Amino acid sequence: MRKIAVYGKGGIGKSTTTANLSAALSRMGYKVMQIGCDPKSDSTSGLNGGKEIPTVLDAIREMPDRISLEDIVFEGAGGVLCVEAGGPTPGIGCAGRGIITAFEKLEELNAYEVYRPDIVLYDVLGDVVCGGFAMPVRGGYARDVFIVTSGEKMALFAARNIATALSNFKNRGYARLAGLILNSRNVRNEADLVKALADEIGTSVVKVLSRSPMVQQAEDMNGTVVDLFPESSMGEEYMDLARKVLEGSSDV
Amino acid sequence: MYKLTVQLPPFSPDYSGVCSALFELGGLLLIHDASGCTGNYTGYDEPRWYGSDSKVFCTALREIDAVLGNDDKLTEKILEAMEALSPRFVGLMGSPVPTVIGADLQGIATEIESRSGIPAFGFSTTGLQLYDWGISEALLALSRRFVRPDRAKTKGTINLLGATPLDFGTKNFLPHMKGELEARGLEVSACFAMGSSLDDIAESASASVNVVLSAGGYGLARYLFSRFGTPFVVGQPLDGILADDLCLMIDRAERTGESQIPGPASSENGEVLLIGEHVTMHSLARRIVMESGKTVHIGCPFRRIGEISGPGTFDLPSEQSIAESLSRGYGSVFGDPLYRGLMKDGGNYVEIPHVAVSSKLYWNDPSPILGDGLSHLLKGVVLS
Ligand SMILES: Nc1ncnc2c1ncn2[C@@H]1O[C@H](COP(=O)(O)OP(=O)(O)OP(=O)(O)O)[C@@H](O)[C@H]1O
Ligand SMILES: [Mg+2]
Repeated sequence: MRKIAVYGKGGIGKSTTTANLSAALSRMGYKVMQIGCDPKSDSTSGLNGGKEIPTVLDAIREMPDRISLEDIVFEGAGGVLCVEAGGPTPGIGCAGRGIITAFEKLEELNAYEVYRPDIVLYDVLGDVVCGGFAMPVRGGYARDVFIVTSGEKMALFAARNIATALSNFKNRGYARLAGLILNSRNVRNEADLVKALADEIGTSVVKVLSRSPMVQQAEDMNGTVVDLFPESSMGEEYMDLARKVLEGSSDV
Repeated sequence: MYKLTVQLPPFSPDYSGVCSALFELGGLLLIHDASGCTGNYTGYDEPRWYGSDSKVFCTALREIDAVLGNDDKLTEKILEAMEALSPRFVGLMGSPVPTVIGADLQGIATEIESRSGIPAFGFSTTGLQLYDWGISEALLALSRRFVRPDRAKTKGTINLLGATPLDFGTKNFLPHMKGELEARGLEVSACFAMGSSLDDIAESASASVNVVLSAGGYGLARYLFSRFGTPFVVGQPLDGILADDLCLMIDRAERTGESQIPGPASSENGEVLLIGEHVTMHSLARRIVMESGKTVHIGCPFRRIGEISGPGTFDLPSEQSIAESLSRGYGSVFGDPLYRGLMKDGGNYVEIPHVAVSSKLYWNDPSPILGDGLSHLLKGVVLS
């Protein structure tokens, strides 16, 4: 089983990229589970016809003692198993702790043993702001981390922070940085800027994704590029990303 | 609200279970808390504390450390303490605050181990679970790490699993049971974990049978069976009759290599109610049935072992459920003295103190359910 986390600055394209990656991996014949670790709970909507599925924290809120896996794991497009951790009531509670609680529930219900996915993808909110959002990279969870970034300053800044957090945790047996995914915003010198960051933090750029109107178009049609436009060049790019991610990660 | 405790004190929590199980083994034990939890353990859950040189500490977690995530400070303090104390291992436990902020104690332990080379365990105790869970986790972690696999089994040698003062106090309980078994020619390789050293535990794979003395030792028995194929038996040799009985099971387990788990001792109808630690109450129930033929119910406020449960064995997950069970008109009830206060109308009540419930109130008293005392007790109470 591979367990892979996708991090990156808010709005950089983590969820879109992860959903397309899931769709591509599933097209290649793998059983994929995508876990959205973001109170917005929109990670997997592209795999569920634009709808947001009930979250783990919703289930815990409504029926704390009677939750079963069917209440929190939903099969989306291409058979991808979709989970959303969810979040607290906006304005109160603790989102980071919420992620931990959701993960503990999945563990308690033996989700990984029951579904036996080949690949688990964690789509994690923005930067590593607190302990909860580092949960997906703790021992026993993701082994490999890919950071989505563009050449924009703030995206590079966030990517560097995430890489620093991972290297701070290296004595703890946490996940390791497996590479950067450049999701192009077409800023000047973008490839060079991102390559320079990769060198600085001792990793590589595993894939450059173009900025494409097709992504928006698929989103408007409530699906992923890979499912809706598999023959398109953007579809091809995501298929290639899937291959690169497989090459750059390893089984747990 | 049904879990609200109004009359009973809170039972010993998970971190007390971990500390209690590891107390005698030369480890540095740290409860990550502001000090209330450590004080709770050393003051109310650990009869061995005063006069001992055991290394149990509080990490003195402060609000600002929780807010800022000052794990480094903790790690450095621990490494410094290790320099001074040279522990054989480190056990780091959580409490409510680390739980709420999601401190990764396993991760911190891994870091300490990788920096110091000394085995370190992180326990995800929360202070919200019960002591037996902690005992079980601690014994499992210890065994996974320290028990040497390459030891030939020696006939007639046993390990005792799940021994802590929280279930057995520090007076006559454990020595008596050990004595009953040794008098029947058995040799105790290691007792997990009272009266044995870490080295005894390391050598314990040489035992041919494991004896589960409490529910907290049950997970370890299953682990040692899957790891080394060592069969186990479940029961307490409270007196000669139960010791003979247990030795037959040990002998059969040794000959067949199969674990001998006694059937349920309770039945649908119950004239007598026993409330307490499951293995203790199961053994006591067997003895009552042998002595008197009376039917018995067993109520478990703590971990219940499914394999020895049957009709008439049930969970008592709250004070309310204990009070309800006490109002069902049993001829006699056995349990910790504090449960008695929940009984509405009087009735025969035999007080069997349980440290995990009544703490230091009775922990200097000898247990009344051992040896000849047990059969006198049964004659006096159950048969009257
Ligand atoms: N390669 C691309 N080409 C064009 N548009 C893209 C591309 N990748 C992502 N987008 C668009 O960027 C927007 C933000 O993407 P997405 O929601 O995936 O970001 P995110 O990193 O998950 O955000 P958040 O941090 O809020 O969860 C979406 O509208 C998406 O369609
Ligand atoms: Mg997102």
